[in-house]
Amino acid sequence: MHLKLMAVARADPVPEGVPYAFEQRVMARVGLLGSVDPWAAWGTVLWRAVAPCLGLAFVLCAVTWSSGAFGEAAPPLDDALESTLLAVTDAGSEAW
Amino acid sequence: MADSLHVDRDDTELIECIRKGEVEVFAELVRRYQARVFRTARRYARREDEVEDIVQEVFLKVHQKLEGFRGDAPFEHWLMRVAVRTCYDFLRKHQRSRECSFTDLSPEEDDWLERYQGAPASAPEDAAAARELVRRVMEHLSPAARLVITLLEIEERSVKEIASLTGWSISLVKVRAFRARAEMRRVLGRLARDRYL
Repeated sequence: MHLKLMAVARADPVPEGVPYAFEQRVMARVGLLGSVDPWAAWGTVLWRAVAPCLGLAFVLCAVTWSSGAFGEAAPPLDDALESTLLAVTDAGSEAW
Repeated sequence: MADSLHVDRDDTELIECIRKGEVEVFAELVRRYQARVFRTARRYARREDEVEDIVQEVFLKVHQKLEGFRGDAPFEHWLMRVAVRTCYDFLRKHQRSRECSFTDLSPEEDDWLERYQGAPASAPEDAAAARELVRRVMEHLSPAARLVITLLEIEERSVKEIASLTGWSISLVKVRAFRARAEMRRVLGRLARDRYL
């Protein structure tokens, strides 16, 4: 039965008829969508933003370096944590 | 008429023009291949409005993805790949319950089945009832099974062609073909059972 039905399907010609002016309908939709792929446009915007962002980062680094902030040694982490916690308790005791 | 300027250009030239911004040239590509895409879509959708929606979607996708067309294969192959995948998406979106029975066969379909059971060779392959029966059976298949059976057994494409059209690996096509045939046998078994209930 399977083979018979497949033979029937193969013998059944599929029409190639196209509705009148179908390509105009497609072109109308193409016009609505625009010719720009939205993801491609988004990618283009991101790439264009790379150069200004890098420039800004460079300028900020230069300003920070020239201000001498990089020359100062940062306090050890445990001292900084201790002073932060003590500051909180000191503030609390003052409040009471 | 401006449209006639593009008739003698090949697909590569048309695609170049479209990429340069001559969007109206896309209409010539649509005109060249719309009949072929309609023929493909009619294998998977019954209603003409659904067929038109599928074909329109195929060309919209083609237009949107044209920048990514590298030209490794002829444009027609790439277009048919988009068409087959769009038809598959349509089948998946419009899956009906496949548990429906075959108890509502028309008298003509019943007659054809009787003739087939009496003498298989005598049942005509060009009978409208037979075509309707094929349509019913195909609608009971899962989307993947229906796609594989249509490409492999009705359109008689090779496994390699099917893999290229669908984006599936060759081994996946073979597995799906095996499962599709088993599914078809189950559906035909149900057809036989439901007739005699």
